[in-house]
Amino acid sequence: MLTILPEKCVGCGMCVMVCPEEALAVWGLVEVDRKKCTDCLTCVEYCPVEALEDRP
Amino acid sequence: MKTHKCDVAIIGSGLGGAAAAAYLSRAGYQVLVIDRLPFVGGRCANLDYQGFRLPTGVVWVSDGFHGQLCRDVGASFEIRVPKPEYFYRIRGKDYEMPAKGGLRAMIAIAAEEAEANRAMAALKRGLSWQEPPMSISVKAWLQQFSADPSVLGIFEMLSTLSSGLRTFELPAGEFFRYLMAMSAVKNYGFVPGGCGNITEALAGVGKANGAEIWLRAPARRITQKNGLVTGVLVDTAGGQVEVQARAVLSNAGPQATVDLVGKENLEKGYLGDLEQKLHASPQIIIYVASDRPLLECPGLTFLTESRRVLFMAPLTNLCPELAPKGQHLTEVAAFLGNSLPPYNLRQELDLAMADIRDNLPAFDKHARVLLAGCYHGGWPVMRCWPGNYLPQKTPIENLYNVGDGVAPPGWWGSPSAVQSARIVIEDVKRRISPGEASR
Repeated sequence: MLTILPEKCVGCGMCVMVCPEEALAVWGLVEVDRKKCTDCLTCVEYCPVEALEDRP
Repeated sequence: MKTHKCDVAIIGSGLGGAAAAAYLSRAGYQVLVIDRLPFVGGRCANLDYQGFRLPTGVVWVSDGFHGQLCRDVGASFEIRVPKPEYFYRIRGKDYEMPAKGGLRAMIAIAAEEAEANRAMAALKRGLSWQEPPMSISVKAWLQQFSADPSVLGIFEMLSTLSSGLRTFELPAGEFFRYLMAMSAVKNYGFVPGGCGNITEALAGVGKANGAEIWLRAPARRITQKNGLVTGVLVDTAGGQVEVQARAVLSNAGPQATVDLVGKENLEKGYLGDLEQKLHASPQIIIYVASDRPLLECPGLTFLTESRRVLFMAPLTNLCPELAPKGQHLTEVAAFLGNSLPPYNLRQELDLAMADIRDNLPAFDKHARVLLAGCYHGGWPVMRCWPGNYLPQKTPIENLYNVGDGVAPPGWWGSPSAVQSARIVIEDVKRRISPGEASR
């Protein structure tokens, strides 16, 4: 499951740009809308600071 | 484990890494570029979002610098230069910055005559005789000659545009070195389709000259033996690969380089230097979508008396391909209250939004925030404050850093990444002959 590591997130918004479901929003820190997120993990691949992870 | 041999391994395909790959592969070196991300370019790329083509960082480049880089290595380059390049908003009125003597003209508008003359004389002395020392900030230096907030605003804008630093943080000596380095660079503008085309073109030159580029390929360790670099361990979809290289260039930032090679393998003096000097500089970038153009000036409109906003740039006035048909894209860049963390980013964003509402009257009716991105920490404006002068060489022989974390004196922003790469490739050429990996 997509997990956000807030201590690592800088709020750059790259994950928001690439999310195919528009499930992510950023305002200083990224937030995920669980109703829209399909755990495709595209955002994990694109995060430049490793602030997004796939965790059980 | 699979192995791969090359002359030079480059970690990271940002502008510094991509430029180094283009230069070295053209000189006959076998080059491998690896990047953890799925695209080439790092903070000099573009991603598609809601039909808009959004920059991941760099937007404002010059024919004189970036164009010259591409011509040097035979990469394609296109630029649209706005006329005028700059407007300055002083006390609510927009002034066009003249192509020559622009800074002096702005000071003359901002301050009453005697004060403007004092500031201009000091500026001239700094440029033609001797720059001020590194021990005084730009703000403290300026306040000897002018107390006018609009004059300070002009210097604030010049300071923070490419460095991300405020006038009270930036050493005056480094500011003058920057003005001198930049005075030779002409014709600023936007790249049609976005600045990602520059790094793509540089990567294309690398590939045409035999370089390999592996994406989604994070470096796990930089390997060394007796203080000499031996290569990189790289994760790929097909498993871990032992890359053997004569030289390794890290475009991942000095801190990532330390983590990859291991602190235990580095000299204490170097680590102490990094601890003292390695501070990233921040900026906020707000992308505004609208149903009509929000600004007249096709280039950058600088705000000299704002809370946070530095400039507003209607990207689609010259590059309509960056937005869906009938829509417009404006980039708003804002500095932070100060450049050292901790930050209150939500508060900083609110202050920037207040500036947007004050300065773009059509915002509430015709525009919306598409995305607000904060650049700092591990994804900053510059990985190290200009003026802190970290060396490109590391204590490990043939292991170098390239990028804006190791900017040479007087170079900021994306040009600093290229300049650092130029310094490094000259050193590589002195130490390693091309093609040794295949022998």
